[in-house]
Amino acid sequence: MYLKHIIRCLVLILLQVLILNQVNLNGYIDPYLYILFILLLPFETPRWLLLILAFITGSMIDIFSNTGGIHAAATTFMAFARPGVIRLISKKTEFDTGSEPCISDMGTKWFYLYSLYLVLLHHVVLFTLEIFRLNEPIELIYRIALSTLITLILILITQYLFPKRNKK
Amino acid sequence: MQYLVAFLKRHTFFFLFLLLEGIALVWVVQHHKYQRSVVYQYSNQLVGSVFMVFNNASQYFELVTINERLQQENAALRNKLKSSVIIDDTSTALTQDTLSFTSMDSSYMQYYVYEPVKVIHNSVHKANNYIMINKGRKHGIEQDMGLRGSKGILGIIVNTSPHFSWAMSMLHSNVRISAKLKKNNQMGTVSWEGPDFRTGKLSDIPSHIDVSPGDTILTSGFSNIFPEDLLIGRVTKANFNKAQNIYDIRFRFAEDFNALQYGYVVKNLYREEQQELMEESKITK
Repeated sequence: MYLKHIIRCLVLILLQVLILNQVNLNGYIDPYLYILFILLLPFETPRWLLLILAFITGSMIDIFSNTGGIHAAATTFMAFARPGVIRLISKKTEFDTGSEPCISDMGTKWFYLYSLYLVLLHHVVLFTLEIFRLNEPIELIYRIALSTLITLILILITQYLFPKRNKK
Repeated sequence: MQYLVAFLKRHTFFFLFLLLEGIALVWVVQHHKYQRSVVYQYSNQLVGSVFMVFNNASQYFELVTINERLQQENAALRNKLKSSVIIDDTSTALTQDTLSFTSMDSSYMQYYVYEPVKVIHNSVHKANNYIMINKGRKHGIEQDMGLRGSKGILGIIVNTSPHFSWAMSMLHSNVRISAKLKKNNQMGTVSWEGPDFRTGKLSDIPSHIDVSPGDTILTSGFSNIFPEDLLIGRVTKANFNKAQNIYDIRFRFAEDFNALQYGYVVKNLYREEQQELMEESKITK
């Protein structure tokens, strides 16, 4: 149960620092797939644990890419927003135990919206901190929009490639 | 007190968020301010080892290109050997080569030495890019030494651990390198504004100087980090802004930052002495 998440976390971090960070599309687009780990944590994860896991994951990416805290800040912010986003887009307030926020449990439309909101929030914080100045808003928006799109596509591809196996 | 505890308990989530986000933001600010922090001193070792393993594997696929480049560089160096230079009169012969100097004139002092290194991590598409190399303090590498590649200069060492070093790439918003135009020795400053990793910016060139595309930009040697006359790049665009009376000069880096493999750390053997002198002059001023 926990092992699955730990392995997913390690694989995503390695994938991010060794492969995705080296990908350079157009000079503007940086896909950040590692946040999928936070997206896919089960509903019953305590909220404080969510924050701590997000902070640790972000810090790992920071240490490996020498970006000094910006990933930690963005990922923690995203984890903070997660319960709110789930409340915003879900009709029911109670979820079945063991169900996860993924396509097979929650449906396509729900997951699209869910990942769009959270990826967007993460990228806005991330790129604002990275550029660290607001005098080129067009370039900033352009980078956020394109990178969000690519990250989303990667997340959806991963969802279809590795669907959740329900033990029933 | 009771109320405070109850209040904190009810809003644990929010306060934990504030705490973690605060830590992250302090980290960001520290990083931008000092380039290095205590965290990296310890994490460099681990990160370096991981990149090293990955790099060793990926290196095999690029052996052909690396060999070609090394051959070219060897050829260039051989051209400078004593045996490649015709000397008519030993007392007046002056070539730029250090080897022939030492053999002819014992009063010549070695000024800069090169330490060959391998690039094990590099980025080009961030707002601030860094290069990691496979040598560190144990090899005598220190902060503020220069890093050059086979074609042009690469950056400045900002942080070292026993076996690895991080260098601030030329593709970093804080980089300022003292440079000059080859054709008329006019001094300027080289920086990078992004996002294109091939193009840099040359500023501080006086308005009466004639600059045109194709002009070569070299290091000035005034910074005590790089020797004089190392290649930086070639001017691609030089627009004169009449309203502000300044030049807007863009140039193409000589080095392809997206394909870094090997480089040399440039050690200035007299840097300490020069720094001391500078400090003294400041006090007396």
